[in-house]
Amino acid sequence: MKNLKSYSKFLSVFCKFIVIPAVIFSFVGGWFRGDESWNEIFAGFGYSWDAMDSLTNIPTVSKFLGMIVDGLAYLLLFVGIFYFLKLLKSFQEGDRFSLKTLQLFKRICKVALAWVIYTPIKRMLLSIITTFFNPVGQRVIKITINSGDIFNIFFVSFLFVLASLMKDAYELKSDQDLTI
Amino acid sequence: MPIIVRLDEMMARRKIRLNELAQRVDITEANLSILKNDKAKAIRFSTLEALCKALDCQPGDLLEFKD
Repeated sequence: MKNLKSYSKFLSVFCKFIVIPAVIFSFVGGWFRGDESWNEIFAGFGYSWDAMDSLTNIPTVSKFLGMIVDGLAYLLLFVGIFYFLKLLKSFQEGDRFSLKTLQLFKRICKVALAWVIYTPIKRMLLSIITTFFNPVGQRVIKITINSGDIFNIFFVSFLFVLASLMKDAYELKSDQDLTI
Repeated sequence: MPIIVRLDEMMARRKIRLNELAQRVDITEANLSILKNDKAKAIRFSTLEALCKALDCQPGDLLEFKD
């Protein structure tokens, strides 16, 4: 129990001070990197962006739509992190296998599944949005599933298995609590 | 549940209250209440032994099977 509390506390701090800022940084960096001042900041950190088309010359309408489409994925990520932090808080309070933690875990699974399904769709939409105003012959629709997506599917499936295990653990604990 | 716990009957026969029995058996009143109200899923032998000692009875006096 002591280990679970320690790990939960560490993860909670790590999420709040490293993961959340990194996610915000990633979103801002992706969409504002065309700006000179942002480029200097990111170059100083050695930050590299992986795959999106250059955003420096796309029209404002496309940039705005792209931010919404990309932002939705980040919103899902934030919702998942929020539920995860709530779950960690329950673990720190000593509440391991209860209805609350089970429901939180199920919600995390659903958000993760939504994120995995949305990621390739987002990629396709962004390719359309960022190249929509390009000359004919230079417009792109990207329909891709890469190894990262395969890994994500595996990871989400594993989360669902864990959720099922947690449900069994909750039922066992309930029986244990009613054993006098 | 087919197994019925006749704890309240035995307590009435021995004229003992719930809180007193809980102290004698070293179980919380809440747990004893769960047992009394047929909400328990299982009972440990150690608990059954302690109850039988405290109420001076046999396990059969406390537990009944009704299909």
